[in-house]
Amino acid sequence: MLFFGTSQFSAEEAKDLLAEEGLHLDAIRIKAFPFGREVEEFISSHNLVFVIEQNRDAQMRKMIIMELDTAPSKLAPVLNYDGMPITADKIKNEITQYLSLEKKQVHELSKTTV
Amino acid sequence: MKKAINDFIVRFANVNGTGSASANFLFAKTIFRMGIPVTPKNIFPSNIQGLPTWYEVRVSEKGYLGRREGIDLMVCVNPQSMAQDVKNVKSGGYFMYDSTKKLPAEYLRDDIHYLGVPMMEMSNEAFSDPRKRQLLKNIIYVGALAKLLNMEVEAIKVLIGEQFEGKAQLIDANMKALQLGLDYAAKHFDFPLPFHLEKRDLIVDKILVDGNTACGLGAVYGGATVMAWYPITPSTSVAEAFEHYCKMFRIDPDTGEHKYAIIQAEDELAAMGMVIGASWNGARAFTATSGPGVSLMNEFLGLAYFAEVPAVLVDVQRAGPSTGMPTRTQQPDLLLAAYASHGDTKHVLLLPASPKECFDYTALSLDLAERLQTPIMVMTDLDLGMNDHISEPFHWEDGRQYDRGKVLSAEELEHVGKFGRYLDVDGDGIPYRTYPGTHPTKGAFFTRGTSKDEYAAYTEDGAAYKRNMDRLLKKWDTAKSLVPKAQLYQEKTNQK
Repeated sequence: MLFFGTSQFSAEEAKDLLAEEGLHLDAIRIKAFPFGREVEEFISSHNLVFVIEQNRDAQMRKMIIMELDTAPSKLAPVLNYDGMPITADKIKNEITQYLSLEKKQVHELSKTTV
Repeated sequence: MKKAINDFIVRFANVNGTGSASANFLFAKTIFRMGIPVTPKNIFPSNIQGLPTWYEVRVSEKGYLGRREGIDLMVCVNPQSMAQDVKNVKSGGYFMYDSTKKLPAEYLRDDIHYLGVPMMEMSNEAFSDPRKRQLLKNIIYVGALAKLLNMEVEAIKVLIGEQFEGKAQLIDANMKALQLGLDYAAKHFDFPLPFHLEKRDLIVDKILVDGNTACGLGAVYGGATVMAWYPITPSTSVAEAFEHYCKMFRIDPDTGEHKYAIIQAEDELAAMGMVIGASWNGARAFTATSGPGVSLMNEFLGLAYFAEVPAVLVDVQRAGPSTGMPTRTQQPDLLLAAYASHGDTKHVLLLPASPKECFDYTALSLDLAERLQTPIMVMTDLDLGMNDHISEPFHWEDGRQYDRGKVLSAEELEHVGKFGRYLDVDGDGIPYRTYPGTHPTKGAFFTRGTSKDEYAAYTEDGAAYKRNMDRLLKKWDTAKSLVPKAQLYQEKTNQK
């Protein structure tokens, strides 16, 4: 998980909720731009990073792609832009949904290759 | 509904402009004083009066300060939003309403509990002044909630006493309204509700404060002496806080001299221009705005980037684009701020998450702006800026020295052969600057937004232009080591 600003509190709670269900995620909270080495290292040492932010266009995700040359497929956006602060439920559900969809796709793929 | 101690959400539905804000804040602050983590959020319309407004209070024993979905108790005193408010209550939850008027049948759900309190009727009977009746109706529901949620009545009374200090009549009226609510709930409902409060000691030394106040105070501690701004929601209270604390700390007690300047400019363009001018002249200057203001400041941000003048901008982000939803929160200005202006520009952003970080980062931004000679933007948002948050207390080392960056004094200039304003002497991309009038013959240079060489002389030579742009990129690399490091949360059990 990667987040910044006021998404921190809901993201931390979502992290705990996911852990209760057996899904343990590493996380990083970005505090500034330009990104330091630690941001680069965190992203490069994980296969999939959920970028949590409160806008439509996944702007932080785009900045990471532009500045760090990260492969876009590695960064899954978790977005909230209805004007209300993001909730822990929203983050948890989107991550769970993404992972179950990914699992299903892998399953479907393995069926076709057999 | 299962029993829950210090773990629930209450939402108040009010009509904007009816004085509900102070009653709702009284409710939240009492919980804070009971030592229980609480997060209040004001959800208000952009239009001034008459439209629905909500106030959501999350109580969390575990200290979770973000939002959760599901409303356990809705306190609805706004017929206009009642249909929607009834729908929003969690199954098994509670709906408190003003039963002065009968609840329309279409609002009845069989999976929630109803708590009718004839607030207006009680207020009308108890108080004669029509304006007071409206305000005290709100205190009546606070009283009813106090009984239902097991709130510490003494804490509420202390807060009322603090709020109306010296106004005995108002204190008496509020106490009476509170008691009316308490008595009504005790007589008509089972109490406490399955979810309720129990006193704790979880707050310790934490404070309840909004981010805009923290930014204003951070600017004062950070040494800002000039603020130029133009009013815009949700950033206006940054200027108000800065002024408030300047009046406390920046007026010479002997002479009465104001050691600060706050200029409400004619627009955001002018505000940013004034910040750049003041910084160029050696003052620590900043502005506060929101997305539409950053749009207007783009031209000047480009000038400050290229002419390398320090500047600080606090961007309290709100939903856009254009006027967007001015009173709703979002983080939509990242790209706008990071790459503000035309040409190859990049700006340093600081991303605070709490009032403590608003205070720290605003103070830090003034150091960074001078160290890096460039605009620094502190990116908060409406939620952080305008809502009260539980925060670590602010801390300031008395011996802390401001980092004024690379500024040559008259004496230092004496030892410099030829002063090169844009010369990378130290190899970190940051050149040396001078304040105007430092030395009678040395250190003068022409500040401009056009291409120049290392000695600030106008040039259209491509190689010189490229050298300058590359040096700015080197400075950008230097910035990476100066900004706050990211926070890592490592799970021991996790693998790549």
